[in-house]
Amino acid sequence: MAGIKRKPEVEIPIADENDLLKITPLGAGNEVGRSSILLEYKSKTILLDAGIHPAYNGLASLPFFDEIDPAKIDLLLVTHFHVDHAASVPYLMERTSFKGRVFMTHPTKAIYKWLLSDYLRVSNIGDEDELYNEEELNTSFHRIEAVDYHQQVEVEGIKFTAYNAGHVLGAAMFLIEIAGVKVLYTGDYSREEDRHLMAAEKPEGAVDVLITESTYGVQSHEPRLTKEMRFTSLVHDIVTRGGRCLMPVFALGRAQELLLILDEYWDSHPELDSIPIYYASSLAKKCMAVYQTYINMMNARIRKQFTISNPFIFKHISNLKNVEQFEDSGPCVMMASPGMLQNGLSRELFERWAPDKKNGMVITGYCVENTLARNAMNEPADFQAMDGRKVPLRMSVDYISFSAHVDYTQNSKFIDDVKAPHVILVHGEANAMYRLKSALQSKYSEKEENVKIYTPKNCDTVKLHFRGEKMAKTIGR
Amino acid sequence: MSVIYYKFKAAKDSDYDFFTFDGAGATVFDVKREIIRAKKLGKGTDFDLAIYNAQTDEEYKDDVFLVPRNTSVIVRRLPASRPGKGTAQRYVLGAGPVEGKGSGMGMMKGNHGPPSENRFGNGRNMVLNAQQ
Ligand SMILES: [Zn+2]
Ligand SMILES: [Zn+2]
Repeated sequence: MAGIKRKPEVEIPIADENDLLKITPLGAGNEVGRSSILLEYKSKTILLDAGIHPAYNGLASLPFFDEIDPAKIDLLLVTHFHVDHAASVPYLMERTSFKGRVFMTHPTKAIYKWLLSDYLRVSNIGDEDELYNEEELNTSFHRIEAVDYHQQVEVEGIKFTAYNAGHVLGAAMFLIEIAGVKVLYTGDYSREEDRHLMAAEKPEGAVDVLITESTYGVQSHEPRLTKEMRFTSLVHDIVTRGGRCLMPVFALGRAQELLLILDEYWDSHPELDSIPIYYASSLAKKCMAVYQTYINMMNARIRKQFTISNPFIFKHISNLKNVEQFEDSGPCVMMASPGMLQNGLSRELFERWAPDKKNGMVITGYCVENTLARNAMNEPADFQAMDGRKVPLRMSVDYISFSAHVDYTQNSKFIDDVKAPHVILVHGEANAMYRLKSALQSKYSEKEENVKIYTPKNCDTVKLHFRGEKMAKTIGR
Repeated sequence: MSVIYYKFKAAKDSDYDFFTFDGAGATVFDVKREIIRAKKLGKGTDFDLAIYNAQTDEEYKDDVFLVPRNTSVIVRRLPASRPGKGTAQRYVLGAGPVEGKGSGMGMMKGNHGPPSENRFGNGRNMVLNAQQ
């Protein structure tokens, strides 16, 4: 900053630490994974999400909880059931001094339990590094309180409301109000309606601080119809060349969207009738019941279909409970979890099918850095199997993103609409986040609007000083 | 047989783990390496690891310092000050402290695999009863 005389940022002496709103990512700061954001204001402490990092195991996958005193947290709000947002909830509740209240929406809570018990089963290597056990998961489950969208809840002077985030069934944004200061946390969100979910809503009224995801940075999504066509014809190609088509997926969430697409496609292509589609998930059946229960939280299209027949009872898709059931004898489509090939069935089948070039893998979700699925996208000549062997990678690998996150267009429009003077980016890799930050900054400086964009790293604190109801000053950063 | 107790800062006070060794104490280097190994913290590239005396809160900074037996240690996992270059990997790669003498933990030297005998405590929920 040579030659430019900068005004010191701190002008007002801070009379009271209490007037500082402090926001600290314990995870998801300059990374995707282990979302957990600490919010402190007026002696209230709120934690937003408590996930794990899919590229690491055990304690190393936790947010940086050692940096806080869990006993001080009044409130934990969980946006949705994905492991990068919810899988360390039982750890926090059962294995630390945490004694606050925990809230999530009804469908999130219903699926949380099944999903995490599956996560435990698949990810546990030994007792030593297990984050919690089944019993602790159950205990935590019973202490979680469920809320509806738009239902305002007040806990010790903290008011909060959940809004539809359009990311997966039950996914919520949280609008939090403490002493007149309003913070909106988007969690993962999408502003585009798909086959079964409504687009995220924008809460009414002024917001002081917006904490938003930045997964896709400045990228744009391809239009839904072209994307679906590219997807179905890719799958069609793989199975008609006699290959097995592997789709690693998060057990729940986007999987349901893909199933709806494939079922419809198979319906209109009778020549594919003999080719089975498997959805290998022990969760599928249990969670389908949840999907059916909460059909009223989905979009008009699917509710209308539901009046004729249940769209989640698929004609062309068979559920697989375990591998033993599966006869690997020819072309098929296999949707298997986990989504980033960390372990489990998708990993097992990937290792088995990778050497044959007839086979193909279609990656449909966002893959976190350092996971095998992410590495496979660069199509290396070989990769390391779970048992240490080198396996040649000859199957085709394609990436068509169906993950319901906002792209640049959606995100920047939403940020415009919310009109918060302070925007904090989380849930994005450093590069994506910085590109988004500079794109937003140049946009707002052109318009001469004073919007501050922050990209805190894990355990870095953004401090905002609120005088009275509205005025905020940045301190020190 | 000597014991050192440890727990992560965020973990409950009743959640001390421990490991055993022979000798009057263990070097900070060996303590950190053992925690990373026992807790399967991986390559250690994405975090730094700090340990503190549970009674005094004093940080054990010097890798060659000898932590006396029966000490209770608080472990703190914090973000790598430089991404991908977490200092914890030093303990995994095991270059060893510069002057690692008298650690009294010969069994751990260069031993990256599981211990051949079941000499490490494998229970959680050890009650803290370090008599100092
Ligand atoms: Zn998600
Ligand atoms: Zn996420």
